[in-house]
Amino acid sequence: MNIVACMKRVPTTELVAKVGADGKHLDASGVQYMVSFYDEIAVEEAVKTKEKHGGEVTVLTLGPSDAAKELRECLAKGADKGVILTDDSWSDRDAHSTAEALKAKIEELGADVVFCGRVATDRDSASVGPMLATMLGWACVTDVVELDLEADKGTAKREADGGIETYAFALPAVITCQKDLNEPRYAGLKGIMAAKKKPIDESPAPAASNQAEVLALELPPARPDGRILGEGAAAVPALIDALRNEAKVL
Amino acid sequence: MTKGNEAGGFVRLLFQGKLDATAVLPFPWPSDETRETSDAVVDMVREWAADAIDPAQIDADKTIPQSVLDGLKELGLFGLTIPEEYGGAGCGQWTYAQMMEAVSHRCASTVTVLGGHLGLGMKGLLLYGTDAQKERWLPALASGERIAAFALTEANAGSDAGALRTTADRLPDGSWKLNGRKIWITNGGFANFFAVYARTPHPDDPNAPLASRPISAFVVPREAEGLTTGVPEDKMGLRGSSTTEVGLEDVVVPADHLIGPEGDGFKVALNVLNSGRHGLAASCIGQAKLARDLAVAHAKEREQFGKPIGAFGMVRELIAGMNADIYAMEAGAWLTAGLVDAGERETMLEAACCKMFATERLWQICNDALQVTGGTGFMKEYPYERILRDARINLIFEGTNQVLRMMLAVQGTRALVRDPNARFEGAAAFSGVRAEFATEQATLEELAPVFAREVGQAVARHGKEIRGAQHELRRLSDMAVALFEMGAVLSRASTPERDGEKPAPSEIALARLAFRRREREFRITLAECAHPDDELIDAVSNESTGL
Repeated sequence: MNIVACMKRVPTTELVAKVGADGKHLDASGVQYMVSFYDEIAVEEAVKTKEKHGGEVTVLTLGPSDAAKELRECLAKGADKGVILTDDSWSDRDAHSTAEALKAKIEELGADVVFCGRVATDRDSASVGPMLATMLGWACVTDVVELDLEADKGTAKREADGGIETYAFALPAVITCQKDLNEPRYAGLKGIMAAKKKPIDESPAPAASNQAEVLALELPPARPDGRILGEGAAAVPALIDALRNEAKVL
Repeated sequence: MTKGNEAGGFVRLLFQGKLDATAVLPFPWPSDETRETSDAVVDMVREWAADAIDPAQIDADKTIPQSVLDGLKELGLFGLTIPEEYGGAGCGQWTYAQMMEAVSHRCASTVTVLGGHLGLGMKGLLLYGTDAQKERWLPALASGERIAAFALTEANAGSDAGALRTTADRLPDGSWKLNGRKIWITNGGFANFFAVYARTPHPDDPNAPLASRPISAFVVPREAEGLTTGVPEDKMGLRGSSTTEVGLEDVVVPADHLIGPEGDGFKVALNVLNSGRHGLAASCIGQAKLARDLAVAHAKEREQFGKPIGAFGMVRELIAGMNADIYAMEAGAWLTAGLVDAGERETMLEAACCKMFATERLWQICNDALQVTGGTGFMKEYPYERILRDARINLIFEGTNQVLRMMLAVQGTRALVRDPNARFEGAAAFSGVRAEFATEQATLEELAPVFAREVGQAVARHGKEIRGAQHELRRLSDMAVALFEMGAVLSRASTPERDGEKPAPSEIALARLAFRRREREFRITLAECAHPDDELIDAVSNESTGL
């Protein structure tokens, strides 16, 4: 089976976000990156699929050449090769433009199934996977928590609001992965050493054709400090007063 | 790349009056490829350790759960430095040091398993084993199917390994029969590969007394009949690490279980110990950072007199001191690891300096971190007391810091004791240092000849008897360690990790403070040299011991 996992590098969760000078971008200085949480699950599912059905896993990313570090991590966990569509302005792309670039590459690679994270943990748009499927004209199941693939079809359970839906679909398909789908493995030293010898191809991403543009980026307003009104039962009247007259929630 | 000098490494040459900048400058940063590997290993270890290891539980339970040992296996860490051809990852000392630090940052007991296995237990086989022996044992050691232990210490042979009593007698079929009792063996409870050191027959005199028989090294697998291990010792720190007695009662192993030439066991043991001490220094860095991180967080959070305590000068002294000392610990340990990876043959004295420096700084850092945290840190629900207990053994095992001081100064003065003219003349030059550190460079160039002068005077005073002049040896060692660390700090701060990189102003300040703290230590010892208390010390000590 020809398997592709899409991966995005995102700022690490320890990041203390600062807005850059232009007021539209994150200040990139000193930012460390990591594989987006749900993309780790996508890569794991791709590798598990390979282990079950045979074939090859390609991890595809759109980003700067530096994304080789995150790709290498995916290769260490069992993927076979990495592809970077290089674009130094990768973070300026809208979801549509990103999906378009990935679509062209996936057609070239000829995948049977494409795994994406359900959402990237930086932008939180959850759009690229479904857009990609639409552009490819393939089936798409999002937020998948359980997956069973056969040679040319599959069934998937997805988390819907308040329940679990089960879908049947034909391959090729795009699956976006929710966190309960699997538990990503640790690479292990063997994996890290093996990853050094695996290929990473780089080719320039097609020019961006953004349909949406970022006008401004603002941090959420700082939360005011908490206040301790007292201790034990003696503090209750002051608390009720504050909830009623200040917070106006009672 | 082979660095250094025919005459010896950086530290040995310091004793002989040569400040050999080329031995340590430029700083031997790893290649991009090695760096990438070690970063990936560190990321993996940190992520895994945060999930899988509960250091407080391990301390409380006095045991490392099987799940942690299984995790170390699955990650492949037992094979980190074992060559790829034998199923390991074939990593060098740089990556080993980074891995040890990363594991240690989470749990000191757990890192001891890896130190006992990679740093000590399997090291003799790796250094001295035949190809056949390596093929036989290394793959299982690399996978963690076999975990190694280093069985040297006995009740009467601690620092004085020459007092060993365990025997290995040759049987008519060429096999060996071992008898004896080893104590305090790290990994004893679960290891299934023991590197045992025992007395073998004198080549010429079958009736030679035990003390004059040579020592040889053997592999003894756990399944060997007659090998027993005792109950785990109840220790002050590293409580999760398994430390047991190992009993050998008529244990018979085949001839091919001898490691290295018969009678060379003492050399094997010393080389195993000498070659890996910077690994212990690296694990001290992990615990030091843990203590520092906790203290810094507390200093930012805790308010007294209306401001965070980290804003007060005396707390700043403690926090800056911790950071500067960690910078120096890293500089020394990474320099030594880099020298080993670059093929430098003589790093024994450098590794000894790293061990003494890192273990003593760690102890001080734990103390300072606890001081920053005050009464809170004294409560058992916080990890300071565990860190402190875990840190203490480092000054004792793998060569007590007293024995290492003796070894360092005796080795350093050896050439001069043999030949007082075996010294280098000419002005000391430590060129290649960044312009920002011109003052520090001048200081190092001033102090190196001062040290050489003190060495010369000590050798002139004592000659061969210097081996027994312990007050003198202690002072010389302390000065040598300070100079080594000064050189390591300057080299690190002067060599960009990647071409064209400049150190941040914050790193310049950090390196400068790290340097100046070592300079101060040097000058204090120098003042002792001018006005030694030796006679007073002997008199007062003897009064109380009656010796």
